[in-house]
Parts: sequence; structure tokens; C-alpha cells
Amino acid sequence: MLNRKDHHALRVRLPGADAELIAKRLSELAPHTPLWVEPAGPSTDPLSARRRARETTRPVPPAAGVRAVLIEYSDGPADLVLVAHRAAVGRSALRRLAAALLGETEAEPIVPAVPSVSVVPAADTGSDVRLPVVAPGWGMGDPRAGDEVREHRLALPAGTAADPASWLAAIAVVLARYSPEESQESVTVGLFDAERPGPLRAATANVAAGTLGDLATRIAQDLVMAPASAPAPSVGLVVDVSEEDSEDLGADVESTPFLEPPFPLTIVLSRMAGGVSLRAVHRLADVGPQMAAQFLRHLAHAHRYVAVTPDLPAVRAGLYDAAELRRIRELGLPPRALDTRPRRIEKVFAERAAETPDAVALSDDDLQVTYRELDEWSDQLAHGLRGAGVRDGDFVGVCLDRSAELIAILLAILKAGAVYVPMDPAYPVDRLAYTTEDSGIGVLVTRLAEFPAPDGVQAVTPDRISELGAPHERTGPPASAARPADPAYVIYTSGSTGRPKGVLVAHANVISLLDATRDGFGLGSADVWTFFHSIAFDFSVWEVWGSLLTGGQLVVVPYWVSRSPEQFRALLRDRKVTVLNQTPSAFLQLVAADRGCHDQLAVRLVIFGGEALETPALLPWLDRYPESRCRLVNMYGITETTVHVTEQTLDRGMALCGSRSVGRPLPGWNVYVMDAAGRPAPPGVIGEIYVGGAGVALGYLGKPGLTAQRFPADPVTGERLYRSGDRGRLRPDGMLEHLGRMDNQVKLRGFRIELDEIRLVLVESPGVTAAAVMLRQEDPDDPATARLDAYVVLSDGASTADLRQHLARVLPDYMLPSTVTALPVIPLTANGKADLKALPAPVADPPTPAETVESTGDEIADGLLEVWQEIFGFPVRVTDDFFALGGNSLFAVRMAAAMRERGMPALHPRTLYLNPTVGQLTIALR
Amino acid sequence: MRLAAKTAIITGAARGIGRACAVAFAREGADLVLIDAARDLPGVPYPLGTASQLAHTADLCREQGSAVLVRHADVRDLAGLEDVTQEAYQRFGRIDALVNNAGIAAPSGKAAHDVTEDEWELMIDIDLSGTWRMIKAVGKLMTAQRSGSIVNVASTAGLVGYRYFAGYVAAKHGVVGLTKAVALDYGPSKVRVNALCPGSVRDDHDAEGRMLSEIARSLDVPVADHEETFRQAQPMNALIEVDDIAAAAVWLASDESRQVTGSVLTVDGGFTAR
Amino acid sequence: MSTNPFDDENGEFYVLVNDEEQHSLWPAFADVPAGWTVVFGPDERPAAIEYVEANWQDIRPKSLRAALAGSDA
Repeated sequence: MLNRKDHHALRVRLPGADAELIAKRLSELAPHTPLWVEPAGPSTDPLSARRRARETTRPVPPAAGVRAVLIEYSDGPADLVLVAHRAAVGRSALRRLAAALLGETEAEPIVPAVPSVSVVPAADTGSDVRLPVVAPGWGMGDPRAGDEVREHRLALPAGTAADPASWLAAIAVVLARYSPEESQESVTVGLFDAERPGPLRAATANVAAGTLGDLATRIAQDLVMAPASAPAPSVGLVVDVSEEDSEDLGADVESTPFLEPPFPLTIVLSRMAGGVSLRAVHRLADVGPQMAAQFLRHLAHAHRYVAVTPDLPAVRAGLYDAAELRRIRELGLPPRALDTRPRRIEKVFAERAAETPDAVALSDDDLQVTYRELDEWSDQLAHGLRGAGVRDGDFVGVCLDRSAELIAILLAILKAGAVYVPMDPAYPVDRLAYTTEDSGIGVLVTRLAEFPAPDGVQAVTPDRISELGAPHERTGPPASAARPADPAYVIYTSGSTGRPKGVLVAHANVISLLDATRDGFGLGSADVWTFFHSIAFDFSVWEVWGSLLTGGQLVVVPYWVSRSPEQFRALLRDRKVTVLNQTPSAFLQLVAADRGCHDQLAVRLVIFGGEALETPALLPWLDRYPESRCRLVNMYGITETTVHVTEQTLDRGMALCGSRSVGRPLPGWNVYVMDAAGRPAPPGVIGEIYVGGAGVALGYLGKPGLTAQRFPADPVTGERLYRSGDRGRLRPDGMLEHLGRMDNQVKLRGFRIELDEIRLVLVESPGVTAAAVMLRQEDPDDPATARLDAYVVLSDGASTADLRQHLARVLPDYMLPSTVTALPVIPLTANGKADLKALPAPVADPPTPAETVESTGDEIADGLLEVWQEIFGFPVRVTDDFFALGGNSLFAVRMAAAMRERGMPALHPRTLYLNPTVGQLTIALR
Repeated sequence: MRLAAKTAIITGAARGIGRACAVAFAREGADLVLIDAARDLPGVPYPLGTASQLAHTADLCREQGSAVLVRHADVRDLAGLEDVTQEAYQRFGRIDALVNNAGIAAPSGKAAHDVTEDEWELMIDIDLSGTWRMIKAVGKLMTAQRSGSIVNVASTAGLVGYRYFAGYVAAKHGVVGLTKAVALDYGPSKVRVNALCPGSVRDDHDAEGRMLSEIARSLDVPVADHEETFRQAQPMNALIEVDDIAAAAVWLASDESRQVTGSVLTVDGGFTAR
Repeated sequence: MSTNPFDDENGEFYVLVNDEEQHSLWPAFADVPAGWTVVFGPDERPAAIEYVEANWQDIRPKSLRAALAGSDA
């Protein structure tokens, strides 16, 4: 293939042309080069524009040197188009030739004067050598666009400098902002010589050091030939204007310095209509049109700094004028305004109860509760709480299993003007104790007999509360002066300092969330929701209040059912659930369970939250439930901004292309993406997500310093923002993409975990002197293979088995490391941090040879050993505890499936939980 | 624009199928090189395409926005074809498609043993060897480009026999065979070669076609109702239009048929299916 | 290099408060947003955080605390 970068073209408009005269001059200057005369329609006709475009982009066989075409328009004017191979005729030579053909000057005969060429010059054959082109990460190119090229222009003010050095410096400044995750020390810019053919040149500059003037000087000095085997720099400059251009070729001259752009984004400086203009030329496959046009605007703005304030430190050069800044900020606004007024949760519930008193509000295994019944029940419980000493503004702990009773208690706490602090009864004692103390609760409602209530905390059962409230039956709720701005709940999240922190959220936030979503999702009294998630997680806030504040019916999902996809699926079918909220991991299990079923579920809305969604995994569900029947919505959310921030309705197209969009903010919420210096990142560029608006929580309970750091003032509105620590970008089309974390927080099956919290717990454990924790995913395509691996340095006498026991007492099960590997030392990086890359593959406790048996002689036991070996990937003993080995609910599901395949007895997850070793299970299964 | 930025050479472009192809290609964005002998040839008993007709074809193409190179050349003259190819390469920098359409239908209408040696050689020389010569002229360039599509306009006479048309049938069968052989030669170079077999194509007024009436004349079918006579013999009860052939040629020349080579595309209303 | 100006251990900071007595850490180089007043700094980060810990006892909004205090009769 002809290398189209080495061709260039010049088009000169003539008011009228004498073709014979031009042909004669051409024959003198370039013998064997004919003048091709082409008649065309009117010069203003779109077909003529196409003719022009085609002639200026038609390559020339190298040995032919130059091609001259005269397009004669029917309305009089003509275009002389010269196309040449740069090796034969350089930029200046081509301009001189044009001038000579027009009779403007005398010109020397051009070289080469070639005889008629043989058809196939050797240079053409097999020269498929193309420099690799790597699209820049920020490019947002479309790989399906093939070779299509597009162009954007920007006129520059008169007098703008056109020297390469200042423009290369400006490009470097902009590029540093566009690719922030590469070190600012290695921004590489390219230069393509329009004059003569040659390799690309490139310079690598450190934008962080020195002034703009220094940067320009250094780049000019450091330009070297770009290595032929390396990809071209992502952005490069072509200067197609020169002070030596003295030829008078008229006002309408178009210069095309290359027939194929040399860089993914090529910046061309050229002369147009008396001024200098800037052009961005890009292959659509490498750089999207909005990014290219934006880069051009930012470049022009940055260049003004280089030209006018060369003494400014290079990192301070700005990219945005006022209009651009406003445009960027507005990109993160929701598509419509929020229509809401601040109210309290229990007041909105009362409205629903008044509207449909006989509708079923709640159902669990045993009972169905209507709205009126729930209203009266929670009134009585609220009086009971008053009787137990609860006053407006108090914090009340709740540690109950999911049930109708739990909901009644939550409502009662709110009616008593208090704040609920939910705790999961499955949590280890240590954690329950911590939460109790940290939140400053006075009263705790629980059925857990062994709850670690410290002095001063009153633990009461719901029965007792009911008793205390009995005299007030049917008298309405107790008097309360509590207001919408008051906190409604405190939810604890993993803390990087080693201890969880409590997020305090106001009533008004929850109401805003409902007002922002209700109409869009069509939520109403015909809907049936599931209450699937732990009350200690804010997804449950959405499930519970989403349903009860819109008149829906909430179905309580018992613990054991939530652990069995088959049973959960049956529940969805039996109760005709219409609104389903799930983490992607759980949903995938449900999809698998649903696949074999002949009947269909009534689910009409599935909302994903809690972890990143891999959209291709939705395809099997869509095959069974098309989008017209069941709407799938991915929602990005954070506890600190009241459950949800953005929403994205998904369709098959998005699943096929693996879209990472989480959509646009909900009405009332807004997002910014900021760079490391706290400036708005250019749209399309990765930075940290900040969230503002109606969902921002009050802060971290009892942690004002941390609150002041993580909830800064909003520089635009004067309200408050939350710094999420999430990595993401705001695309030019306004869609947000969530791309992981900036730090050590991870999401594991929907649970938010600070690896540092686990590490600190390890280090504080008896017998541990140093520790490191990492998240590994064996199979990049299967999130279920993600697990936590812990590495510890043990003191003499300590064992990993003892450590595991200790951890089980202290950490909730989702934070328990799957493996614990003892090392003599934790490898460190040069900065003194744990070198995660140097950590070896984890090992399970090596079985002591005497105890390892390959065959027990019992069919069931052997089958179990085989299955466990398969799912864990290492040999196990009959006395090994499933959970101590790293097993979790997902492994349990796999185990059950593997057992089914082998024709072994059916395994209920509850059986496993009560009999967690092969030995015990064998007996239980018999 | 299925042929955007492509350059195509079409032989026999003055009228008929050649003109229809040229205009269709122009409409799809191609630039054209139009070749025709543009004069009557001794030994061919009917008027062939003229310079004026060729110029008109060129005008029709330019109206669609194409750049057009017009050259008079005889497919019996290899040197002439090579010169045109050279010029085309200089002018356009590449050759993306070739439609070998130039061909004669007569002298025919005789039993095989009544055909003279000159008549036999003329038919083979133009209808079969002409196609080969044009392939020879562009083949090296196309294979060096590692892209290109060659469309050989044969005929249903390249697939089945017709009475009293021994020379024509033999030549057209040869074209089909040549197509397959060259397809194998050029496959590794990503150049495709396909045969297009029209059935009974009506002589279109705007395309100034003439072939069908000449075939009728050779068969002593009254020319005045020849369309009706031929039409009745068609399974679909209709004659083929030149635009049908042009549409097939566009598809074969475009990247849409990029995996099609060595094949025979028959546009005959079902005639050879019987 | 820190990933965020708020986390910059070597930076200089203010502490801002708004009407509800909510506190915010603020990098000294940035303009103070409308509705907020400087109550401390510029000073080093640990000092700024210490000020917040010492002076912001209750993260609930001031108006709420006032109402509760009034209704505690």
C-alpha cells in the first residue's frame, strides 16, 4: 500500500483558467506529467465539492512524482489540484510549482522528470509496513469506524504565533491533563515535517517542572526521531504554514499536508483566509469527534498562556474559558430538576396508609400485614419505645432478622422521632459491640439473647416494646417535634482506619430519592418488592422505603431462601414479585436458576446496585425477558449519598458492547469528575467522582475530622459535596462511567470492603506481627472467583488455624479472607509499602500427611472430598471447616451443583452451615 | 455509496450493459475509465458502439460527480490496453475494479461446420481472448495492490448450449472457465474474479442496447416481435433489464462481495434452472 | 503524589463553616465558596483536622440541635 502520509496536496482556486497555457507550462516544468482537465458542474454544487475532495486525496504512484488536475466548473472558476509524493516534490517546491503554473513566477523544472513509469513500482509491492497506531485511552474512538477520518477547524485570532515550539508545549500541557494516570514526567508529543518526507519526530517532556517557556524550549531541543517500531505519539503537530511562503496563490488555497493522518490526533497549523487556523484531523477509530473538537478548544486556550505568560508554571496553564467551565460543570447535572419537598419518612408512609389501608404492605413466611395494620402496629411500638425512654433525636439500635416485625420496629423508631442504627444479627459479637458503643445508642431492640450490650445500653425485645405500648393502642403515634432535616438512620461502612464508620442520613434525603425515582420507574401500589438485603446495608433502605412509601407490597425474604437461588426464584414466582433489587453477583445466580424453568417470572423492573455490572452477563436474561417486558436498570450509588446517585436503563445493544455507562444523575443529584489538583477533568478523562445534591449525608457519626475531609464545600453551589474516592469519567455525552477505585477499597460480591480495615484487624490479632491483604480474581471473566487473600508474619507459636478462628469472631463473613498464608516477611516496595505483586500464590494449610486420606471407604464422604477438592483447588481433610477453608455462599452453591451432577443427595445450604465439615456433612446427609 | 473512492475500468462502455454499469458505478461513487473500440469492426455484421455514444456514457457518469477517463481501444490489441491501464494508474493512482463487458454476439446463426475460420477466430479473439488481455493488463497492478475485483460479463451461453451459436457459446464457456482459473491465481493476492451471466437482456432505449435484436436476427426470429418471442421462453415471463445486470456488477465490484470469487452469478430469470 | 488536594499531607488548609455549623476542610489555594466562612488557618493539615475534632462536636445541623434543645422541656 502506498504510504499516504507521504503524499500531500495543494488546491488553488482560479477565477478562470486557460487550460492550454497551464498544460504548456507544466510540460516545460515537469515533462511526462500531463495536465488532466476535468469538466464539472457549478463550483458550489455538492457534487463539485466531492470532486475537489476526491482529487485532493487521490494518492500518486511514487515514481510519477506529481499529478496535476484542473477542474473546470461550469460557472466559470477552476481549481488546480496538485498532488505529489513528498519525496519527489516537497512542500515549498509544490507551492512554487503552483505559482509557476499560474504564471506568477518563473520556476525551475521539478525533479523528478520521470519517463512513463512501469505499472508496478517496486516500492509498492509488499510494503504493508504500517507503524502501529495505538488509540489513546482518552480517545473514545469507535473501533468499528474503520479508516474513516474526520476533521475539525478552529480559526485563531490574527497574529497568533505559528512556531512549532509554542504549540508543542501547549499540546504537552493539554495532554498531561488528558492522560493523568500516566506520570506527568512522560508526556510525549510528536512532530511531522510537512516539508520533506522523513520519520516522525517526538519529544518527551516533564510538564510538572518549570515554566511554559522552559517547556517550549526543552521540547524543541529534545525532538528526536521517533523509533520506527514504537507506536506513534498519540498527539502530534504538523506545521503547514511558513514565513517563507511568499507565493501569491490567491485567497482560496487549500493545503493538505498528508493524505492520511500520521498521529491518532493530528494538529495542523495552516494558513486560511489571511489568518492562522487550527485543524484537528483524526481517525474515528482512534479518537471520537467530541474528544477531538474538545481537545482543539482546550489546546487553543492553553496556547494563549504559552504565548502571553511564558513565565507561568506549566502545570498552572488553564484549559477552559468561562463558557467551557460552565459547560463542563453542567455536564454532570441531571436531565431534569427534582420536584420534592422535605418530609419525614413515617409521614409519607402515613399518607400511603390513608390511601390504601387494606392493601398488603408486608408479607413474610407467617403473615400478611396491611397498611392500616402496619400503621397501627408501629404506632403502638412507638409508644412502647417512648415507654422505654426513647426521645426525639435519640439513637436506637435494631438487631433483628428480616421479618415483618423488623419493619414495624423501624417505623416505630422513626415515629418516636428517633434514629435507627441497624445491625445484622449474623455479625460477630465484636462488631456488634463496636457499633453499639460508637453510635451511642441508649436502647437496643433485639431478640439476640447474647447481645453484647454494655452498661448503659438497654437491650429490649420487640415483645417488651409491644407490652410497653399496649395502653396506647389505636391512639395514633406519640407526639414528636422531629423534622425532615433530622437523621433517619446510621449505616456503618468499612473504614480504612481499621474500624467501620457510621454514615448519618437525613429523612429528607430518602424522600428526595423516592421523589427522584418514583415516576421514572412507575413505582406504585401494584408493585411487589423483595426485602432481600441485610438492614445493615443501605440497599435495604431502598427496598424497604421504596416499597412502603409508594404503596407497594414488601415480601420479606428469609435468610435461607436468600442463600438458595432456586428457592429465591420460587419465591419470586409464588409472590409475583415485580420489583427486584440485586447485586450483579446474586443476580447471575438467579439467572442460572431461572434458565431451566418453563414458567416466567412477573418481574418488570430489576435494579442493580452495590458492585460493578458486567453487562454482557445480562444476555441470557434478556433472551428470556425482553426489555419491553422487564426493565433493567444499573444504578451507581454510595452510602454517603443515600443509596443511589445515577441510573442507566440497559438494553441488548449495551450488553453486546459491554457498556460501562452508569448513566446520568438522578434528579436532585449531580456529579463532578475532578483531577488530582481538584480541577474539573476534561469530559472523557478519568478522575475522581464527587457527588453533590439532595443525597449528601450529614456525615460520619462521631468523626467530625473525617467528615470535614470527605464532605467538602461545593465550590459552585456553596452546598456540600461527597468525595467518593471512586475512579470514573464523565463522557462528552453526559454519561458517567464508574471505573473502580482510587484506593484500596474493593467491592466483593456487592460488599464494600476497605482492605486496610482487614489488614489492621490482622495486625491487631494475637500472634501477628505484619500483614497484607489483597483481592484476587482467578478468572477475569468470572467475578465469583474473586476472593480475599491474607498474608501474615506470625510470631512463634502462632498458627494460621488459630488466626482464622480469631478472625471469625471479629469480622463479618464477607470480610473473612479465603486464604491465610504465613510468610517469613512481607515484601516491600521501594517506598516501604507492601509489594502486592511480590506476594506468592496462597497456600492452604498443608495437610499433615497422617491425616490426609484419599479414600474413606464411604461413598458420600469420598464424593464430598472430591467435590470440595474441585471447588477449592487443593486437597482437604474430613475435619476441615468449609468456611475456614475460604468457602462462602457462592462456593456452597457450586458445591450443591457439583453434588447434583454426581447424583449425590441434595444439599440444603442450611445443612452445610450447621455441619461445615466433610465428616459432619456425611452423617447429616445420610 | 458502495463504491466510494474506487476506480473502475469498464470495456464496451459505449452502450448497453456497459453503459448501464458505468452509470451505476458512478452513482455509487466510483471514478471511471471507459473503454470502447468506438467503431465498427470488419467481420462483425452489425453496428457497434460509437465515439458519440461513448462520450455520452462519460457525460452521464460526470453528472453523477465522477471523474472519467475515456479511451478508444480494441480488446484485440494488448499494447493499447496496457497503455490505457498505465494512464489510468497515473490518473487515479489505483485500479479497484474491472468489468470485462466488451463482446460481440455475431457473426452467428450457423451450424458449427458452416462457421468460417475467420468468423470463429473473431468470436474467440474478442469474446474470450479480449477478456484475458484486459486481465493481463491490470492483473499485475491489482495483485500488487492486494485488492481488486474483476467481473467478466459472460452469458447463459457460458453455462448451456444454444443452437447455431457454437462460437459464441464456446467463447462464453471459455470466459467462465477463465474466471475460475484466474480466481485461483489471484486468490492469495486478495484479488477476486467472478463471472456474471446475463440471460436475455432487453435492448434498453436509454442504454442504446442492441444485442438482443442482433441475436434475434441471427436466429431468424422476426425482429419486430423478438421481445415477445424471447419473453415467452422465460420462466418469469419477463426479459432481463440492463439495470439488473448493472446491479449485480456493482455488488461484485464492491466490498460487499469480498468473500466471493471464482463464482458465477447468473441473472437470467430462471432460464438455466430448467 | 497525592491523588487529591484534600489528602495532600504537605498542603496548607483552611477550615470553613456554613450556617448549619457544618465544617469543611479546604485547600488554601482555592477560593472560598459562597455561604462558607474561614474559621481557622491557613495551617498544616493535621492542625486543621485537630481543630475540627475539637470544635465540631455534633455533626447534626445546628438548626436541628437548637430545635431539639428547645423541645427537651
